[in-house]
Amino acid sequence: MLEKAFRLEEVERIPWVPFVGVHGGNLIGVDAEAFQRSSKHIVDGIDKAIELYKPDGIPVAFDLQIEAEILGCKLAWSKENPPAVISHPLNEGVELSSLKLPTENDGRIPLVLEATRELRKKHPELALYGLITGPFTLALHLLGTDIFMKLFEDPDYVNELMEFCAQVGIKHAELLLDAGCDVIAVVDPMTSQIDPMSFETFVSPSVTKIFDFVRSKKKYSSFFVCGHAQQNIEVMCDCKPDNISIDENIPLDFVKETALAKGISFGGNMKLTSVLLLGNEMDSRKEAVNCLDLGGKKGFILAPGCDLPMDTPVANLQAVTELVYDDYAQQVAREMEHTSSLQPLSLDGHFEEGKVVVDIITLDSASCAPCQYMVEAVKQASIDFGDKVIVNEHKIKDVEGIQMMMALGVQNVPTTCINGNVEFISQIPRKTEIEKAIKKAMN
Amino acid sequence: MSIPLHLITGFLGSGKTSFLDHFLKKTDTKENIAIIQNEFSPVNIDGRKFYEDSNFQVLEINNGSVFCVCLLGSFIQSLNEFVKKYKPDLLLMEASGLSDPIGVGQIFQSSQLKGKVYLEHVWCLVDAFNFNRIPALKVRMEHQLRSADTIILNKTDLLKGSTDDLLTKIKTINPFAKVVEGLYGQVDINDYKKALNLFPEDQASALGRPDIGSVVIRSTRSIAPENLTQFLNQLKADCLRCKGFVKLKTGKSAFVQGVLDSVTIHEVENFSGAGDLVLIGNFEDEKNLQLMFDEYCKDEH
Repeated sequence: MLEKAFRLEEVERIPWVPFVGVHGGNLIGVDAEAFQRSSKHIVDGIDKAIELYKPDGIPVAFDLQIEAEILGCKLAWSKENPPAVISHPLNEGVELSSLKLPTENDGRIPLVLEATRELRKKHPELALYGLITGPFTLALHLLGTDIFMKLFEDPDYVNELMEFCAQVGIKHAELLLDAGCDVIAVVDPMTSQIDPMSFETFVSPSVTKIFDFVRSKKKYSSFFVCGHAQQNIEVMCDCKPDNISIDENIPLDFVKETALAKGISFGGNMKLTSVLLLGNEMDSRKEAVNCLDLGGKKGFILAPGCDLPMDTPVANLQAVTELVYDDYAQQVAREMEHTSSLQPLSLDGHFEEGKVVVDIITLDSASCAPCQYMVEAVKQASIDFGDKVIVNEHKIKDVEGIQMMMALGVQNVPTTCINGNVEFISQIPRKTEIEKAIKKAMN
Repeated sequence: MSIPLHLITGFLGSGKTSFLDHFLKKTDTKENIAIIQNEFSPVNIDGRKFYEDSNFQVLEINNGSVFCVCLLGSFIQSLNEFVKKYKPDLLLMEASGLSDPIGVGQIFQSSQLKGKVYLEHVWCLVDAFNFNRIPALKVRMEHQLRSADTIILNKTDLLKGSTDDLLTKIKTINPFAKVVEGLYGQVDINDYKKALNLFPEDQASALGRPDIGSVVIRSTRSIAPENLTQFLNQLKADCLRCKGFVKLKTGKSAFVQGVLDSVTIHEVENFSGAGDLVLIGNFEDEKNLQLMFDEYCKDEH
């Protein structure tokens, strides 16, 4: 599926790649530092993510400090985040000419390679993303913020540094590909700081070499940026990656238009903080369906805007997963799109003394198979109770249906509520289960 | 009671730390002010000592030199614990020079911080001498300026000639912010704070301050002018103040500013990038205003 998207072929289902980094640690109950220092933890965490989120592709390690650490940058470790670079060797007297390219034995590269090999064995069909630090971000790690002044004070030095960072990237990419990665993602968030002309002068030559190298190995590449980088999308495409991945700061339709015109696939850009981290399941579904509808079935990969925060609720990402695989869930999310201005329906007079009221929230039982079975099952189970049970179907294709859904606090469709309490969600219950629930409500 | 947060932004070397020092020294000493700063920011040693001597609490954030919105998640918890422990009256946050300043405002919508902390004011420092020296960074500088409520022109003493040209450029980028000149970031803080106060002092003591929160809506989408009006009307009952830029379907952009039920919308030119709209008020928990705004951006709404 993912390969089809990279090749700009029409797909039946849009592929999905959750960027699980330290969030994998959360899934197996270890902190970010322990997670990123152990190949076993990485394998276990990513395994868990694969089980929960059924992705088409997944990064092995989302950590932009691996190369910097090897090259002498000091790191500050954190329990909730990837480590941070806190010293810049080229700004502290170290000569650029003294820096050596990393090898398979340096720093944390061995543990990432080991995790890659292990995950390759366990999941032969899944696309593994090998992440490398983009040359500009690595140069900033090595030199610190002085790099911005040097862009115009000493462009030759910056070019020399960028060339070195590109060579580091190529070496790292080679090791990751040999260990079994299918896609190399060049992650260069700091390029969002600069304008297209500086990008072309300093970033394009070095980053193009990395993409050429990946192509020569007959593998795919992706260019990740985050932040306000809209100005650079066109020059990024000109570096000839196979894919561009962006966050919520850039309109998806703009990237789609620009990338497809240049024959490049694209991905993104579910909102990380305001929706996936802080929103609920319904918010996440709405956001995902919005992205799916904008992205379309040609050349688009659904992904969050950036590395998922450690504490992103699992339920939100599972809601996205469900939506990716289920056309009905997509329809429901679309129906729910215009709900923000609606108020829940009043339930005054809805319930009757001495009777059990069963409310089934559906997309529409006439057109949605799971809804149809749910309604039939409930009606069947209610027959024997005669007029003691009232069964109502509320279709969310109608505004009132949505307002009822809100009033009952229902998040999924189809859902059956008995006397206002959510009883059965999505899965069709057995007749005996429904009867049991009705009897319980009678007493 | 909700705690206002002032964000101090500005590019590297623009004088954010000097301004922070000035703010602390000149402000009413009865206030319990706390500071949020990057642990590894090159703060002068004197500054740190001054905080310690004056009993200002400091929350250090560990993001190294590369600050990314992806790292905001863990900040929610540390800020929550910090405000619970020290109960400050005011939070001053010095943003990293490379950060996306207003992005941090998104975390105040989290259930842990809702009603506790809100974004009250954004100060942006500008290095008058170096303003145009790094064209590569123009986009980032413009974004910082546009997010500001007050822009402080610093290092004007190094500038040969007048500041007129610079002021015109800044006014083109953000015609609505107050622009003041202040050597080493020295401006009259108390005057500004008075002007900002949402609740007149007598009212505040009589009624107590309600729990208020702030929401940052960031959108790359454009909205039809009539839908924008509808969206703002919808929030009227809950929103005390709103301010920011949004993109319009007409191809132009709008600067939105308002207090309670009088909101003005000005069309502006020369706008690029995503729009940010900051809302301060008492909002219903269950509504995700970001998604609500996205809905209003659709034609068929």
